[in-house]
Amino acid sequence: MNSHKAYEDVQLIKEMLSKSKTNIRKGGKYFILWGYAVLAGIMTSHLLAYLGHPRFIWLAWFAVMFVGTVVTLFFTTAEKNQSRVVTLLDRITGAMGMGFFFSFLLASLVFPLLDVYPLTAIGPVTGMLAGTFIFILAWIYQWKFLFIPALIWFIFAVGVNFIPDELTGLAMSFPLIFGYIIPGHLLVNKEHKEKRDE
Amino acid sequence: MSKDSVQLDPLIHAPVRLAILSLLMTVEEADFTYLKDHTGATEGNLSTHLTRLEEGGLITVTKTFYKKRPRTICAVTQEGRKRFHHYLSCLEAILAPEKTE
Repeated sequence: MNSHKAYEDVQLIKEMLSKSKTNIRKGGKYFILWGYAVLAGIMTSHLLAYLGHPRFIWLAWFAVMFVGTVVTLFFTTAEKNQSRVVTLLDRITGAMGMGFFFSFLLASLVFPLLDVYPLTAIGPVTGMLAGTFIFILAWIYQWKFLFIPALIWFIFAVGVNFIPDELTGLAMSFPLIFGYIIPGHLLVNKEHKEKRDE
Repeated sequence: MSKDSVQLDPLIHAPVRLAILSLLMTVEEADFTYLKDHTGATEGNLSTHLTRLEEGGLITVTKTFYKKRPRTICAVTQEGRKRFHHYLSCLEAILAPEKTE
């Protein structure tokens, strides 16, 4: 075997590696879905409180979680079946998304209901979880822009402690829009662009 | 290991098989169409090489159906990974500059 042939083999391997590099499935549509779902939950909560039915707020949040979960499961199953290639990072982001989903569920619904911590702790805890989730995604997708929404969530997790309790829910709309929905739309655009370039 | 004594695995050495294994090493699994598009091989040619790799125990080939259409999913085995890494070591040995005393 001569060096020239070995060099050709290495070039072929490099070419195949670069082709498979762009195959990570981006989760932009889940950002958008959950961003709007939580935003709808916040608005409904405030409307219910305004109309004098605060006892239905929990029901509204359970409805948001239920519909969001069903739609997410539908899309992920369809995506998995249609997918022509599955990478290790796909599995990692999928498992991480599911893990964080359960953490959000515990932090925002179960723990406050069980009086593990007061309602005022929901904002800082969920903000911290959202920041951590997006920070890890930024690293996985190797997309520096995503560090900004992660930072917005971390700032919110601290800043929400200085906001009056009755405005906490509304204050969460800001990081939701700038730290979740807008990055979601940008991720979807990026995904479409990468598919076009492929 | 001297350059002349390096023996490359003949099962991996064919360009299409090397391309298939290189792709499968970076993904968990890939279907037939994906491999065809990325290796540039024809269906018949790819099918032949996949069978050779499967018979050699380097990959697994699973045939399923999605929306009534047949689907072939390929994944590299532990043995395949081991032999691919060994193949890379051999290439490294060939390409390494000669040591001069």
